[in-house]
Amino acid sequence: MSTTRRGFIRLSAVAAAAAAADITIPGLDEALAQTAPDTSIRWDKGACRFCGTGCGVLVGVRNGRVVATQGDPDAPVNRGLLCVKGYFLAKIMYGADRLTRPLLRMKNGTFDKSGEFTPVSWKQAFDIMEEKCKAALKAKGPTAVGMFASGQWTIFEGVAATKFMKAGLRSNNIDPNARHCMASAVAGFMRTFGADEPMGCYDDTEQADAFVVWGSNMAEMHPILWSRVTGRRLTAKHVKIVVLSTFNHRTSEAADVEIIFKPQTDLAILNYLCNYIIQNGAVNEAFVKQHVTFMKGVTDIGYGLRPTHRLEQAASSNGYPGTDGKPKGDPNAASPITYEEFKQHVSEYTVDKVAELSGVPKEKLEALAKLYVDPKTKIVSFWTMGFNQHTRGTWANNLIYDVHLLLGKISEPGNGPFSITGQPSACGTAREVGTFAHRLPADLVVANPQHRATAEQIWKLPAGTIPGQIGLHAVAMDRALKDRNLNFFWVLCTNQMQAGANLSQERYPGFRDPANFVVVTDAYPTVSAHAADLVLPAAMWMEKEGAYGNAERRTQFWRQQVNAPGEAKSDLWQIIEFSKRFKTEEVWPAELLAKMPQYGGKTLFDVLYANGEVNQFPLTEMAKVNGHAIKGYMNDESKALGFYVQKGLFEEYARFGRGHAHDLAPFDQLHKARGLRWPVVDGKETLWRYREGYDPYVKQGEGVKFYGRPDGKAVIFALPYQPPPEPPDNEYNLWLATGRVLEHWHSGSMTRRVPELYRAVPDALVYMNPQDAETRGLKQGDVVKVISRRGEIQTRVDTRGRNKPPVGLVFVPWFDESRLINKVTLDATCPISKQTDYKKCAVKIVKA
Amino acid sequence: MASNVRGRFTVPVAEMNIASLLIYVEPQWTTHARVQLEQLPGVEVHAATAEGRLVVTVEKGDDLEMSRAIEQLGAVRGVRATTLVYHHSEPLEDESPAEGER
Repeated sequence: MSTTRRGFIRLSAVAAAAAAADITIPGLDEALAQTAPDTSIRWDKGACRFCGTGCGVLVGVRNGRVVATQGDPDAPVNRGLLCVKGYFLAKIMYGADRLTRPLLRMKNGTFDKSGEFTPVSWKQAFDIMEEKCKAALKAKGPTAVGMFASGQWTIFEGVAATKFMKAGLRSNNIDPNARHCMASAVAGFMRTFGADEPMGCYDDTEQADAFVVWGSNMAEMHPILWSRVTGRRLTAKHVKIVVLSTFNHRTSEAADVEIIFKPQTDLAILNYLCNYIIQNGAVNEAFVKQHVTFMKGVTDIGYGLRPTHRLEQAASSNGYPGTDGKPKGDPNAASPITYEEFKQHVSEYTVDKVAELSGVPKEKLEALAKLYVDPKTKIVSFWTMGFNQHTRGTWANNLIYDVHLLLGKISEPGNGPFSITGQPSACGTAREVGTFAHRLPADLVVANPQHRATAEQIWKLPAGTIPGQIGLHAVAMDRALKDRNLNFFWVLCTNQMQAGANLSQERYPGFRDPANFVVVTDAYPTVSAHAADLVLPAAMWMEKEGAYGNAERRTQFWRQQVNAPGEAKSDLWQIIEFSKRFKTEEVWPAELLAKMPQYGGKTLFDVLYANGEVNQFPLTEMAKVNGHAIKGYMNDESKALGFYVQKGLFEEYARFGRGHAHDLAPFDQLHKARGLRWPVVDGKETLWRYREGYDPYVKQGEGVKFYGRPDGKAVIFALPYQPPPEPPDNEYNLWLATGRVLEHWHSGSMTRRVPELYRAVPDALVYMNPQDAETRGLKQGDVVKVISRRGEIQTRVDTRGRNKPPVGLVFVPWFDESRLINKVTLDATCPISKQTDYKKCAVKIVKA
Repeated sequence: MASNVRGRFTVPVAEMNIASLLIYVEPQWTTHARVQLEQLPGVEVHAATAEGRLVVTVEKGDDLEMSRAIEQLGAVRGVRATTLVYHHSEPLEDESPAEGER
């Protein structure tokens, strides 16, 4: 490396940081002008691979390798800044153990469930997949095949996969890991507003007077969004931050008011807030009268455990088959009530009662309530997993909307409830494309015949192709594998073996059962890959053209920058290539095919992707769309298929939402812009939904319209506090909460390959209160066992770390594949959203 | 596959790592923090504002050194937050001219 080149890079680094901070450094420009520029690096825009904030990244490529990354100064989300994870983006593709060839468990040259992983060709890999998938379809039909995927999938991958599973194989058994992450947010939005995703956007952070953070450690999990919040407070001295959590963490450090509550009692605090608002005459009556309707949800809904569990046998409205074989009610059911009935419902949540239940001092509850009701205070509520990973997660989401709706503090700059997400495309792919077992694109659902008809028409498929039965959700997939009802399972872009709860009892047995064949597509040999029968090597991030959607409805595109190593291929290529292995006759009944006889003898590739829509853009289109950034641009999938597959998939998919308040911007525009927030109408993005003047779908004179519901009104739900399924007792006498840490991201399959991050936080520790340690005869650094009724792990005690739990609760992060805390966690879910509660189960801790 | 799981990291090679960061310091600690930061090997402070924003570069030969340096930055008294702006990383021997295209 020449000193000149190094000097130029150093100066560029300084200039970038100075510009991001708006600081002028005397002499810097002159010095840069005098240094020979480094023209060997090609820069292009991209989006960060990690959390749901959706930071823009400039990616620098030299000699076919990503050598530099920079916070994109033109990205409105992060304005040139990145957190520590984004900083190491360049390295995540270059771990020494990247998978580069398909690997099949083999003995004596053939597949054997107990064999060793052996390199095979793609042809051999698809041969065995085809054999196993077709065998499962033949034996039991489409319900015996399934796919588990990801909020890290690109939008294109989500579209291709949804079509392949729901239309091609006619199975709704496709679900994303986003089920573990924000399914409760989705269910909450759908129940209250009839439309998914936040009304506001990140611009709210610069306009709010107060922030209330509920069950979210934003300082570690969404550092750049958090820096906008703390930046707002620094520049506007009146701004207040309240942090509610079951333990003290990094976000608490910035709190003006810190509220530590007993697990599950957030439900009671939310009801108390509603009661306070009513008792103190703070209801925005005009808003409520015009824009709100009241309902009461059913309450005896169980905990999403197996139907044989005593709690489920006792529940009357969990939807499971009763003794007569018919479903026991519907956990999602609700009936209209009056305002007076709602008032009566919340009246029992007095400050005395809720202080007692939650362990929060009355003064703090009142301080929180006063902040919400102050008419001069614009307020944003943020939340992530604390609300969502909750056996009453849907309710928690509904209840925070109750608070904002009663006050009319919603859908305007600086005022609003804001559900943030953990994955880069939980919104863009899992939610908007609808890669859930119950969904279709643009908020449509498989259970609605009209919605299925819309999808079939856009996808040019015979009526009746898409099944109406909701498929298996994440936890149900595990149970179905174990029960041998799901026999062909393809896991892509996620580390389910590590991420799902109760893994020893409910997941691992199904993966390793000879009755089932499990395929895992990943870039690295994760815990899930080790448990698979066939491992397929994946291209990742800048090795493919991509699109993500972040938590503020912003769709962001990037171009393929470098080649994948060895024979690694993108998930998109893998899905489309596999579709060529199926003839319509093999997967569709004769009466379905008879409706469109022209599809006879065709492959699923022909009818799903070579359908005149997906393949409508020739390769010459790629230079037209991308020539401004990369001369002669080409991506690997399009090159292999002979058409611009990403554009075709996107434009076909976008038809679902355009004209229906989910308008995605044109493909070409998205390849130029730093992301755009939908609905994008006439080239203009929407910052605040449901509000006249901001949202093109609200007509002049309507003011506010919650048009997701037929009556144009949002629903305030009466829902009670209820206890969690497994509170601590005399033996298992501590609460266990799990979560993430800043330096690692989720299961650590990418970040644990970057030495910097690995070193900073090498192992998952059990964070506990010094008093809890003392009463157990433990001290800092002791090796202990964390034991639940389901399993145990061994780790070290940390009583002085960044997370400081109160007496009675311990915290263990889940990034560490050598200490799988999900052997310990409970597979209870919200019965409505089917999202697992990773925050509450009972454990004991003993010296190892 | 199992054999390569443990040895997951690239053996440290001679590398160039240059990073720039914005460090936010409690204003009353700015001067002190600047002195402390400048004493760390490979760390250079290029600018500091009265409100406590510091433009810093860190230059290191390999990933482990970089890791240590970033930990040290965060541990300096008064440092409230560390954000990263720019990072360049490439093997030192890689001096061949760029191919331009992928």
